[in-house]
Amino acid sequence: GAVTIAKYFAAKNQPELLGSSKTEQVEVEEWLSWVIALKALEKKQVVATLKKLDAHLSTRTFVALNRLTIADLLIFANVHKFSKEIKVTTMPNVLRWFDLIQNVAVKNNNIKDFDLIEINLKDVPEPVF
Amino acid sequence: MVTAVKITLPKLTPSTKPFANAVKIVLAAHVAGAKLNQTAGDSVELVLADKSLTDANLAVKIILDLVSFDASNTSLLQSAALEQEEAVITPLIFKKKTTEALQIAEQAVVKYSKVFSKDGKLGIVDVIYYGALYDVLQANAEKEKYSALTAWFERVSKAEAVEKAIEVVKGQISNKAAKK
Repeated sequence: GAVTIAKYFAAKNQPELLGSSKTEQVEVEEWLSWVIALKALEKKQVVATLKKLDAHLSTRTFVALNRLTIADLLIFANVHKFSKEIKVTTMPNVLRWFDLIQNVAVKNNNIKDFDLIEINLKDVPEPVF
Repeated sequence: MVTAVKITLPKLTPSTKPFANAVKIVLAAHVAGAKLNQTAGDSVELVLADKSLTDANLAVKIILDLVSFDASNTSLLQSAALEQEEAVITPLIFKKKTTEALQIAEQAVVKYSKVFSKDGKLGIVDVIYYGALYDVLQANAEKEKYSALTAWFERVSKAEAVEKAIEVVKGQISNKAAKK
């Protein structure tokens, strides 16, 4: 499956993306299960699930740990096709996170498989710490 | 592997996700040879020092000390088999698409044969597949259609850890469910 393949590439090239300690790896693994569950959902259910992710991201920059992990990359890859549903009025934190990941992972690495989504961050709140 | 496992278990009903999750976690504790510290709760959870986990597959990985992914061939095969169970087989079972679930599980036992038990000694894939498929395979009357899966299930069912785990989980079946 896609999650196993992504874990394999991460382990070979940037193992820190999987978490550096056991505690970190547990946190990342929790989100990988979340990704697998997300993939099985229909569009309406995905939108409802993304609203829960929005609440989670209200106090965080990345989904797990305090840095980029494979969880961010896989969630981004799986929600990219639903990007039109991510609106500043209903999911501002997901939108901010989405823009961060598309810049860090897609734009900076010049990846052509994902269209860059134009996002106006003017109304998006900063994460609360 | 951990030496003691603290879990919460609610009253259980067969053919439900909590029942499958309970089989997975309790079986993992017995495979690890850990002391099982079981208390009543609202859901099936592994209780850790800093939090509780409801994700049964992750709980099994923690109990068997297999959270780390090292890109070895074994690690890769285990991860692929576990992803197949989590993404495809278990969702099909709870959508009542049992035949499809068994067909894919049969293919998984063949394709990932290296990580399924051949001698009764159980690994992480055995624990998670056994929990996911226990109810379905118990009731399966078409054993010849799924020969590799059935042979694996019968072999694993004889393991002492499985017998002990099933006894614990059956002890949690609610009276209401047992009367059905």
